[in-house]
Amino acid sequence: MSDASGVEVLRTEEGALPVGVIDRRPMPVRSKIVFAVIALLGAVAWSVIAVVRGETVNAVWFVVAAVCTYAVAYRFYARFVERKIVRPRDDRATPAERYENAKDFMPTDRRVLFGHHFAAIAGAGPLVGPVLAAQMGYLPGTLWIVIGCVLGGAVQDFLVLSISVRRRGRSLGQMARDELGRVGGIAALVGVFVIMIIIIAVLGLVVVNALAESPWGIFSIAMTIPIALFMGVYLRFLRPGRVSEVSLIGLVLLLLAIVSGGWVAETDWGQDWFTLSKVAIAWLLVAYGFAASVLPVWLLLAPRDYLSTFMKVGTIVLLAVGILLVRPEVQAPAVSSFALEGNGPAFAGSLFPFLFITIACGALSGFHSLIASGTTPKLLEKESQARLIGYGGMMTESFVAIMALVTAVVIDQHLYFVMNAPTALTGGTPEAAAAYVNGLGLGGPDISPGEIAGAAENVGEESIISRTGGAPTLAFGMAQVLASAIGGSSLASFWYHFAIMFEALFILTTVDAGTRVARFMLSDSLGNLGGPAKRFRDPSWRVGAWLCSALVVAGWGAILLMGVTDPLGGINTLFPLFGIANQLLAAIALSVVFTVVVKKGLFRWAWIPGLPLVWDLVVTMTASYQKIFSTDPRLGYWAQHDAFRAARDAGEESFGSAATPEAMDAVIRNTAVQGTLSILFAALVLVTVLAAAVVCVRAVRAGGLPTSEEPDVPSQIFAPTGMVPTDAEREIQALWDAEGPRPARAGVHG
Amino acid sequence: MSAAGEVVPGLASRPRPAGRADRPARLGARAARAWRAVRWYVGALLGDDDHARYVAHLARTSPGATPLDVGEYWRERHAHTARHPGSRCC
Repeated sequence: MSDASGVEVLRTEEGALPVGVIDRRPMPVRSKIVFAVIALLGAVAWSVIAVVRGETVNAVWFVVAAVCTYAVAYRFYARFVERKIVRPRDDRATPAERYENAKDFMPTDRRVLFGHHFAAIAGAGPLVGPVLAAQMGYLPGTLWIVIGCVLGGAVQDFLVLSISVRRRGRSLGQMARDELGRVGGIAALVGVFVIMIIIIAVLGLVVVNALAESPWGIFSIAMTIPIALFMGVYLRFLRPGRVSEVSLIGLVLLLLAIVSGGWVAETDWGQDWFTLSKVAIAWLLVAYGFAASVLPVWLLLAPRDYLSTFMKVGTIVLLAVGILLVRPEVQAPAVSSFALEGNGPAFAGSLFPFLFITIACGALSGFHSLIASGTTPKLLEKESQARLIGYGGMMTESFVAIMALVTAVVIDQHLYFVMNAPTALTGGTPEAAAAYVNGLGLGGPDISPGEIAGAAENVGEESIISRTGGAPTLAFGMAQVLASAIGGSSLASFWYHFAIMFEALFILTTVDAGTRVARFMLSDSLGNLGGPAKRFRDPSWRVGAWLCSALVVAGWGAILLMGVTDPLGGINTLFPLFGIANQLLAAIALSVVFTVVVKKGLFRWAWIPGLPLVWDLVVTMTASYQKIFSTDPRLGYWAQHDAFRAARDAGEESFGSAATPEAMDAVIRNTAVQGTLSILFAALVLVTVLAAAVVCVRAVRAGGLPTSEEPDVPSQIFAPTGMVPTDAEREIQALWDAEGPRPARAGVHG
Repeated sequence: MSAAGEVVPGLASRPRPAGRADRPARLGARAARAWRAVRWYVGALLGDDDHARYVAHLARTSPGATPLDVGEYWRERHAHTARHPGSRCC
């Protein structure tokens, strides 16, 4: 029943309070004007970014363009997707309400859930990918981050969340089995597992590269372990439930750890103990991964989670404030020569398809679909809040990616390539590095070896040459920006190590959490084999848990060590694999979404998930094809493998950047593994997509098919939809507040 | 808004018209409200009030039952998380 103004109130029981509001009022004139201004501002900002040549662009334009685009997309495109496909019904009880158990099913305030969801999806990904992609100039990355998010990534997150909410918060793997059939389900499950392993390995590589030969960094990160243990014990035994109190203490200790790292790095014993090689750090990471995944949750994982959540919010604020205060000028060109020729040092490959592979988190990231179908759907209060949390959360992460890109492109171009070219190209010393980057044709005055050494000293590091992986570059850029804003160059080394610290913190949390999830998938699957293996399903069986953890850690550990010892530089060879894996997971998620949309008979709107799906498949299949079949050894894994094999068979002692026969053997082994993984990923996704296609054809022929949606149950609670309640929602909320605490839900499941 | 009817600081009331004289007081009141809102948000995000919500939930659904105390509740929560781990993205 609605009143004349167009506001309809939803009731599920006669005489009870409303549980929802449908607001069909036309957009007020004031809002129309505001959005027109926003659109105009955005258009101006985009034209400045895209069209200005010759003079430098100011970084603030990027922020303006991105924010304006997000505002318009959220208000218009996301609403459009919601109206045509999601069609949320607030009179329907979400799983959080229906199965409420104060543990994992809990209707959670949308603003708090937004924070949870954002903290779960955002990590080091949006910080690393854009930094690497800056090798192609600022324009391609910016366009892909914003457009890819608005049309692809945010749509994926939104739709996966909505679909999962209608299915009791079921995970992606389960939904794939329900909607695509057995074959599709198994392919999706295996795909998720393998992709998770590679993602952990490559993120581990990023951490290793950031901390290698850096006693300050190693000390600070090492200190986070006792800090987390202390927090865990404090919460368990001293002051249970005082989470924000202990998090504040932990944060202070963390900052202390960063500062004291500087002191320790100055001492001889500090340098002796804490200067570690990449291989040593990799082994330590493997040991940490195993230990953290078998230790109790409250001891290490939960405290790290609390710290990371704090840091994630703090980082965005810092970046934004820094950029807006300093308003640095962009040093990178709009489109660099590496984009056109595909011979960049940071990663191989031309703009299409490898730009879209390198930037995943921030534009379109399949891993998010695991989060969007993980804990978040079990906490959602009202179906209509999915737009804010799914679409809005991804947009916020995309904004983080834009700021990371900006931070990378305001660094002097020569320094950027000094940091991101592998040692094989830079030679490792300031003289050789200067000679290399001066020969790249970057424009502007040449850099001197003294300037390179000075830049390293400024941030408190021995050397910044070939610090690949994106994290050191971001840290360097942040130090540069923040030092101009706050504190001057004396604080530059603090900011650098602060940035390294939070990136490592995020990644270690991903490693820990990811290893646990992968272990569960493994033990579940082993348990399905039946017979004595059934015991694997029992989560309290320690031996089984340890065994599965060891297997998972061995999986990603092997790839990590492979990357660390690769003579060609691990990031250059492995990061594309990470990106392809992530995008292929997106293809799986979007296939599930697309199938559901087709099954529901919404043929006219199937292009909404279909557009990113097709684009994603084209990009990842092209990239996989090039990685597998290209005859250029810089690009194709098997071509590289064959070239080194031939040299080895011909009796050569060194070849390319492999200086010894052992190094050549390493390359032969590594490229075989990488080539096999590429084939495996591509095959799994093709199987899933084919399974989806079969189901879709059947659905189109039948005019629609039943899906695995749960039957409707009426809702008995009320919650506003957006961040800020509308006037109608405020009135209804006031009515609910006057009623007092809510009575027991009729027929609740305990 | 939690459906238990808690009023969230900083959302419910509209600013009342006032004269110049109490502008510092109004600013002070606004700052205090903003600080309370931040504290509420951080507490809710990290889980300070999860135990209270559990107690309220139990009172609603099984009125006679004795709720676990804070320590026991969190032990249960962590044990549950150990059995059902959630992912953290990249």
